[in-house]
Amino acid sequence: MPHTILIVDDSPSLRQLVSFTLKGAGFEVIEGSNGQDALQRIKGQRVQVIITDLNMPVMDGFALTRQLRGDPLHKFTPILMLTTESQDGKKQEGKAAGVTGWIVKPFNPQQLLAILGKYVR
Amino acid sequence: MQTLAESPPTLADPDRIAALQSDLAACLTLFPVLRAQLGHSAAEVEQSVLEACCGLQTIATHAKQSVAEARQTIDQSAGQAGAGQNGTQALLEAVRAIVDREEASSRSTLATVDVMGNLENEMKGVVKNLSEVDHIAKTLRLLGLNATIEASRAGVHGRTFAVVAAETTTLAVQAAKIAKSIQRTVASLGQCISSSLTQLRKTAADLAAGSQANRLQVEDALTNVGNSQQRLQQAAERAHHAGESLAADVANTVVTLQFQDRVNQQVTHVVEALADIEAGLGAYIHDTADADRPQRNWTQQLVSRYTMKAERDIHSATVGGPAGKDAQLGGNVEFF
Repeated sequence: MPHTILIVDDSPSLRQLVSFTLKGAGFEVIEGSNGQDALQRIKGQRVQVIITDLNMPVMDGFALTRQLRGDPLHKFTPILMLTTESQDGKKQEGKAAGVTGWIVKPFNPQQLLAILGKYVR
Repeated sequence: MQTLAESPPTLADPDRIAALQSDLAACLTLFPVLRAQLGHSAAEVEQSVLEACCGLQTIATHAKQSVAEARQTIDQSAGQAGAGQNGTQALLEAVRAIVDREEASSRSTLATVDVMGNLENEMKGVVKNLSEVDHIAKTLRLLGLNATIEASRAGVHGRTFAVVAAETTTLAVQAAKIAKSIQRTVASLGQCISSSLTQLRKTAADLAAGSQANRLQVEDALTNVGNSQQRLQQAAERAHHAGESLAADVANTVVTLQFQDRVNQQVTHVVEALADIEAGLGAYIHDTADADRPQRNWTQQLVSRYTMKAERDIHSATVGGPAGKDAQLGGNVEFF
């Protein structure tokens, strides 16, 4: 049974690039264009890992993280922030919100897959 | 009264203010155009990257298929139909066995030739012995004749001897006849054996020459097959490495294509800043600006929009503002 990853980013091309990387490695992928859209798409369904951008319209990555941590299904699901932000202040804010890991864009496909390998077997 | 040349114009001059207002109003009409141009550029880049991603998907799929096929070819040719010998090796052994049996037949034929050669010699010996029997028979016949003559000379006393002499002569004649008959039969057999022997020798020689030629031909053919298989395996290995190399190139391309996301963010921040400036200055043009409101901090407003180290670095380099407080490059992955 392939693992399912949720990708959230307001950039369609970025979502495409991440999806291309993950599908090539055998993962199932669900895409969301912002936090609210993502929550709608995974309603009642458990995913193994969430990769989300920070700066998005409607609902940003921090708000999404807080929502997910309040959901019993995803209280302990790894949430990786994939963002251009690299300031320590933002990282601390992410950590406080419940983010598991912080990846600064641009991502390296092989590195991303290696990171996911830590969470899914 | 001061002339225009003596008193430099200031912004307090109503004429100057009117001119500024007019110019500003004209410039502000361009702001939506500038924002639209920037937005369009970002959208075009986004679309191009999306199309490039589709192309990458196709390349990656084909590369993956090629690598899988090359791997399958390598695995199949490396062995293993059965007990550990590959198909070529088994074929080689089977053909060698056929040639070996062919050579064994040749040797067996040669052995038969030897045996028949011995038989021929024996037959010649028999012919020689029969000649001696014939000679003995002739001698006995002469003896019989002499005995008959002596018996007749002995008169009445030689009658019994004459019978014996006659019988001896008869026996000698019969022996000579039998010897002649056997000689003819043996001579005939000898001729058959000689003829067969000659044919058999020729056949054995042909077999030996043929099996030698076959062995050389088969060895050559199998060597060629082996070489072809080796070249095929090497080609499959190269295809496999090329596929892996292509996968690495695709991964690098994925990293490069992410430039679009950064461009998009930067353009968006510029567009938003232009919108702010348009709104802020437009309030003065349309006389809706609140004179009592605090002075807007344009710089702070712009900096607050930044989401990337590159933006902060450019800002600092351009206007000498505070440097970004980003983490050092190299720590682009962090786990909490």
